[in-house]
Amino acid sequence: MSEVAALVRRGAGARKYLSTIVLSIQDALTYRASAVVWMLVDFIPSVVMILVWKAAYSGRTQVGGYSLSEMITYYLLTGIISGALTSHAEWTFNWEVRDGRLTPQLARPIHYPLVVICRETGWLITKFVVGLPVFLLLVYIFRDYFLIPLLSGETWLGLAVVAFLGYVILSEIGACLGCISLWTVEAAGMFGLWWSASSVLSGSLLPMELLPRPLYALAYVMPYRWTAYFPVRVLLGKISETEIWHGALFQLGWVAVLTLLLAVLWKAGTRRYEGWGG
Amino acid sequence: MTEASPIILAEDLTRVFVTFRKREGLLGSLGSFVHRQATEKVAVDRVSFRIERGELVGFLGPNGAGKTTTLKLLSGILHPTSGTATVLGHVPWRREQAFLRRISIVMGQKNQLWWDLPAQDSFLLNRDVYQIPERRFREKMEELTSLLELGDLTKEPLRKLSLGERMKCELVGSLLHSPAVLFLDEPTIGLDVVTQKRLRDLIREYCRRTGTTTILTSHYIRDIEELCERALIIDSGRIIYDGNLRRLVERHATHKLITVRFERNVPPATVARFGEVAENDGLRATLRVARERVPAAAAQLLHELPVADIAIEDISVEEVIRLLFSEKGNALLREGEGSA
Repeated sequence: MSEVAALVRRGAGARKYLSTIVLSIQDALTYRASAVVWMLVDFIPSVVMILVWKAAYSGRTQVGGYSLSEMITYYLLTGIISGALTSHAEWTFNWEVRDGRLTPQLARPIHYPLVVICRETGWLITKFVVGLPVFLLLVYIFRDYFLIPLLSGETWLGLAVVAFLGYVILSEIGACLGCISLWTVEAAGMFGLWWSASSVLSGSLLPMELLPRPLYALAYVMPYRWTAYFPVRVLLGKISETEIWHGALFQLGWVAVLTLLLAVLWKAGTRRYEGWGG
Repeated sequence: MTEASPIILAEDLTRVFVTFRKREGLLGSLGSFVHRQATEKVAVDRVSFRIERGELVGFLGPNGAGKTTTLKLLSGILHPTSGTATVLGHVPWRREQAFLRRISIVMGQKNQLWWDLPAQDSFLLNRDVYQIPERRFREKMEELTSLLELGDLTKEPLRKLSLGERMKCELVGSLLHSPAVLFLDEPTIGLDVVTQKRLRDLIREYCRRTGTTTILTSHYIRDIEELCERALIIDSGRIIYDGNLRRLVERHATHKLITVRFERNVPPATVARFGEVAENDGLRATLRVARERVPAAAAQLLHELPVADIAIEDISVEEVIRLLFSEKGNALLREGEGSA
């Protein structure tokens, strides 16, 4: 009986995070036009890269194992997947530490980094749904090149799993970066450096196979390739079903490492937090 | 925790902040870029006190005295540099869920509700955060919105409400889970005097009804005077007085005020013979008179001048506090230390 009670309690404990996501969706819907604009912003690098590659392919059929159609499909899918999966929890963290809004949150029975991630999740869900027409419009514009993914049921399932785990990895990285604010108050420069590296090392800017060898080696040991690049390659049908599940195991490993790192940073950071701003 | 244990116990609680000082001007900025000069500020200095169940205690002190830092330590927001504290039998800064579910903090300068959404949506989130059963949640919301006279305002986006209305909503949000300990940090800051008074009445009524142990910080003496039987006066991180504010006045007010209304104009020099003149317009005068001289001075005034009306009052709490924070007051306190 006590086990049942414990389970019920745990379920009720998880409900606050689900409610945070729902409330965040309601909040984001009050500024839905902003969501569409941000989705447009997410696609700008992809469209620029498509135009660059169209010029670069003149006379060639393949670059780095990608045909022009595959390359264009790659960038369109990267745009939508990066846009939907890239959480910027670190910015929320940073703002709330700087203006003291974190302070009262620490006296609530919540895990603040998880709440920030849930708030980001609500925003991303809204951005994805509201911005989906932007993606469909771009697919229509590049319809002569766009390859509709024809995948098996297992691959679709694997895609859902690796996209979810990719999102968890990105969110945890964001929360870990956010924890830096507890020491430095202002950490925007650090975020900029990290995300610039990420756009190269995650495969958002260009497929990883096209990176110079040292960068490719670096990208291989960093967690980023398990975020945007991996789900896009699954969607392109370039990863076998066995490789998808192997990849998911690697992702789980990163999730474990980052969960531990976040717990350590949060505990140490709140210990020295000074509750600025009254 | 036994029934006899205090709800809040602080022993030698100390918090030191380290700040980095930048030297003046551009060269100073460049210098600080290479080498930063660290300085320590003791925000709370060996503070000890105990608070029993159901008490409504006020923390009073000027800006930067250490009131809010003490509150943050007790609510688990900050870790102390040294010392210990227990609240409801928990060490606050361990932030155990069982502890956090039984306390609440309202900060006059910080919104906890969602800015762009109606307050009632934030209340629903609090229902899940504090795991309040649906029926109790509905009853409590009904009770609080009617006590605070909010009506349909909880259905308006928070950003459209006035400061006073927002503060009422913040109070509802923080009381929905019926906290055993309530921390109120400057809840009336920025409000007009009418709204301040209304909010004070509501807080008093709520605490009377529920017996919630409450700590209130304010630099408005009125808040503490009207609400709290007991006040802790903090200055430079140290408690300089712990007790009833009226008793503080009795103990430290060396003067009383005699206000006299005359039947006809009396020359200022004549009035000044009876005490230190605080106000005088010829027909009405207020005199500061040493306590031991009050009966004699009053009798003389009635006997020698054309008095139509006379009133004798203690000097205001505000004036006593001002005195306490002055050099003279510190000397007074040193004399009376340990007797509070």
